[in-house]
Amino acid sequence: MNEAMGFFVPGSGWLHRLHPHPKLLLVLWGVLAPFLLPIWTLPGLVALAILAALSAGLGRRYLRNLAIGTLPICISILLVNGFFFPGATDFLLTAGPFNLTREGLAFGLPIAGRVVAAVAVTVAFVMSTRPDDLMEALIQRGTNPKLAFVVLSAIQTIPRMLDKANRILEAQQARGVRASGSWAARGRAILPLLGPLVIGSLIDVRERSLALEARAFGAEGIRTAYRVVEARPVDNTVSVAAKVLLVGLIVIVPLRVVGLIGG
Amino acid sequence: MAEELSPVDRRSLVVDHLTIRYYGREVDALRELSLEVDAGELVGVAGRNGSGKSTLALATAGFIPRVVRAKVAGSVTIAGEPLVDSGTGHAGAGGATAARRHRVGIVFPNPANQLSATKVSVREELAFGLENLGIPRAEMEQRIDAVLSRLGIEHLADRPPFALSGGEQQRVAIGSIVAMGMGVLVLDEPTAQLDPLSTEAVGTLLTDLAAGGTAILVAEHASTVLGRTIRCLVLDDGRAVTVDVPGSALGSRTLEPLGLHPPTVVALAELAGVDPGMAWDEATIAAALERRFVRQDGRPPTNRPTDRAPDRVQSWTPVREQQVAGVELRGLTHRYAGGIEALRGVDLRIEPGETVAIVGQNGSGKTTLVKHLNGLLRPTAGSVAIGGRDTGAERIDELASLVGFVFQNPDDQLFNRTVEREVAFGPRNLRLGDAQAARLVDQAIEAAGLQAERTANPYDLNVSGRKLVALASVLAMDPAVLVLDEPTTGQDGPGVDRIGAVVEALQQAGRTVVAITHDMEFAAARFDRIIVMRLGEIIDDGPPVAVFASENHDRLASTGLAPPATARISSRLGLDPFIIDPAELRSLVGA
Amino acid sequence: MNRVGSLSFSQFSTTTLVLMAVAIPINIAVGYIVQNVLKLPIYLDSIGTVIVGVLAGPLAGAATGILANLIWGFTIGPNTIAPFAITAGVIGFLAGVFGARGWFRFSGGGRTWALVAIAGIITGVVAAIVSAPIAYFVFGGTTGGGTDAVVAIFRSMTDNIFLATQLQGFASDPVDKLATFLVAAAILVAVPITVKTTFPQGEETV
Repeated sequence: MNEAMGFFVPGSGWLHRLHPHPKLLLVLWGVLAPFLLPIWTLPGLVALAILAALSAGLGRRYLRNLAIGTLPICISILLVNGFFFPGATDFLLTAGPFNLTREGLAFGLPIAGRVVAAVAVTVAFVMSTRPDDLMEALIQRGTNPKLAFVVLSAIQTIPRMLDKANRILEAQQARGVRASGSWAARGRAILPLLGPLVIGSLIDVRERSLALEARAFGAEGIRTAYRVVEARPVDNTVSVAAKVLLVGLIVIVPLRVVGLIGG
Repeated sequence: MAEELSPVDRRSLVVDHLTIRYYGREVDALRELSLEVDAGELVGVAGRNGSGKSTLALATAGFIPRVVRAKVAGSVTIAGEPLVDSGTGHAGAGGATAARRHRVGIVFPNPANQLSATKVSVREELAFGLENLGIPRAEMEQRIDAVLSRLGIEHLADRPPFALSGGEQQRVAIGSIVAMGMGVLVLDEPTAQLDPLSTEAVGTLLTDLAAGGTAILVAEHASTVLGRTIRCLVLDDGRAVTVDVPGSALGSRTLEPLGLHPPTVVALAELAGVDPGMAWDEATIAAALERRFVRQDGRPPTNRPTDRAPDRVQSWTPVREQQVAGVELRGLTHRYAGGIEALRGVDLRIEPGETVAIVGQNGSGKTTLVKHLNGLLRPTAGSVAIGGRDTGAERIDELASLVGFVFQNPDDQLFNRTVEREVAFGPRNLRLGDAQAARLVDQAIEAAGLQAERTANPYDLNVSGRKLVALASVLAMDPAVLVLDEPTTGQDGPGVDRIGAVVEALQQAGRTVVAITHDMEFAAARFDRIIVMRLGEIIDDGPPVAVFASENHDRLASTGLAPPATARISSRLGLDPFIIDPAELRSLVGA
Repeated sequence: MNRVGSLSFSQFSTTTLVLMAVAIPINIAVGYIVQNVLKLPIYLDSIGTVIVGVLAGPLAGAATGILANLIWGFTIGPNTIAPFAITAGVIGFLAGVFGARGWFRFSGGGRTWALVAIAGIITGVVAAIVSAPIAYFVFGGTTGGGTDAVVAIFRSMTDNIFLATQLQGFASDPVDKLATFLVAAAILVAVPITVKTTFPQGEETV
């Protein structure tokens, strides 16, 4: 079941039980806040997100996903800015012709911090939310079921498509296609490997859409839902709180611009 | 007796002088077709690929002309309401509306393509159609439970649809339509991609649904499904040739003028002089045959040499300088990641020029075994040798010049603009000279019977045609060993004959052929040697007459396999020597 | 009960929706083949988006690009590619525009390949222009991908961070998009006409 749900890990922590809609509002706040609030709030935001995730039982896998999701880009940010910040003069470290500068790091660190803070929130979200529950909740609030179909169907087809790609690789190798060796050899393998994948999928589109129509998909009229995502009173409270936080965020921006709040 | 599901209106389906021509074509796909299917009837449609079966299915489900564009004359009516009526301008309802308003449902040949791909349990998958119909939530649970029990798939309720086998998925697809309360069910070759056990399950299901009041129209090749229908329409080039009980409709008088031959069981029934209504009843056939034997000395007659009608003359001329090659497996073991031991120390020796069919249920290890022959899998222990050389460590593309592998799904290999280019792709990769390559391409195309389609786009052909293209493209590489993975799935009669002829031609040219198949008749008729596998081991190995002999039937059954019809009847008759060739059986009756 | 939501999705036929749903995994699988299996220095991972644009129009292409990026980011990761959903949408949109103008029409002969190549380069340049501000404002000029080394080189040549980001985009995006458009066209050539015309804009590719 997991392969059809991305990062989602079944669980029973408070994040799992929180209704998708207030969760989405909180995520929105959590992604905007690092960019709109003063820099000194960043460590706090990161800690807040991680604590929330761990308290919800997302465990070591959360930390691992967070690390995998942020380390490459943070290293990039720090290295590129640290070594290549234009006009920097305060050298901290010299490695051959490259100089690590204080100004570079000072520029890079907050950027890295923002990324970590935002990703910490999104990883917690995707790990605790079932895609189909999220879609169902959105449909309840007016999202077109057709959009939900595309999202869910795409997610579920990803593993199948990768399997198909591997089968095609085997089948074409059995006809003498080489997937290694010189640049030219590998380049020649592009069409034999991608062709059947795309063309086969396009052919399937027709039969799949006929089958969907046979199940009355796209018929006019009301659509009901089998899987119900209930909103508990606490969910509504959180919704309100999240909206307040978002408003607060928007208010802070002009205050910062004007200089009333520093950092 | 089946419980009452959602309101199944007792609909009936009436097709009246239906004529359909797709835009841009010069020939009608269906001509003046008339047919009626009443509530509770299971009616079949047979005919070779391209005869119009799919067109009829799509039209009766409301997809033509609204969704699939075509010129239409005549009408299709469901329970008195026009679905398609060119006369009054009622131009078809469009698929989803047809489902909603007219309560007609359709099932297609490919199981995986019918999943909504948005649900993670079978239960929810069954609910998908109900959601689209706007059925109240409270009623959904009740309908789903009823369908799960009716179809005998309660054990699948919480499994993810994408993890099911083809047969299970197909039953879920049928279940989804049934849950929607359809009065008319149309199926387009529902068992084309299924193994015999699943095919039988679907057949039983259809009989049961019809008994519950659904009007069912099923287009099929599988004789066991057609044998369950109360009458069967035979199509040829879009025309109705006959509508009759299946024993007659699929008999030699109808089919032979069309260039087809009857299912073996029906042929035997005719031989035995059995009433067409009993054409699938093997006990009756056996008894009737026994009475008809030309007996000498009170003992059953011994075999006489048979005059087998010569198959179409087929030959394969070796083009490349290729040595003949046999296969030798020693202690071959394969363990998949996750610990499953799919092959347990298999020893096998195939001489150059032998034709071998490997049979066994899913999970028996047959696919794992053949994948070692061209390097797709490496032995965990033991060795693989082709033509005397150990190939365990060679790359797949290196072995391609020695071993040709035709995969089950042709769409995994096709990507060129024309059949000709596709077939030429393999020889090009082998860097054969232009002259050699051209000769191989011509030979391969001829062997596969694709001369007329040389410049066609492979994807313009239907599945059986595409499988032949894939076969041709591997033949063109002139391999010493040819491996075929389920070559006859989805093929019609002529297609199966064509493949059989190719096997024979290759054998005469000294090539070794190894095929995986669950078509027992094909295996018995075309291969010198049958290997039966179960749970990673070979449990039987010998000529078809020995493997399918009476004493083995129980053992075969334990692996979930059934011997061909002639073997079963021979067993009932207690024949000795054992007979599995229908022609031989025919000669015993003095026919 | 439900109201019909955003207008844009209502217009899409079932066939277009299934095409979109299939194009997104195609992006991912192609990315896997090109990067992990063939280990080539290009991505080609917007090829599904491009094909949707060409066959089903600019809006379908744009929607596919955006959804593809978000889905990829949040199911396989890393989440950090999500901000570039806008770029992906632009790519799909442009592919749709070029398709509508018949630039992928194969009966045009050799001229078609030149048009496809130009379309690819234009799309690549526009994608670079759109990506640069995103990369700058969200990530301070880097993207986390291998091309950050290129950023570094440009940085050392110019004093302006924003310009450096821009240049990096120009170096990698047009080449990748050129390749993507050409491969997409090569594949579409082999698709039967009957299949192509089941899609809204398919006739423009015949």
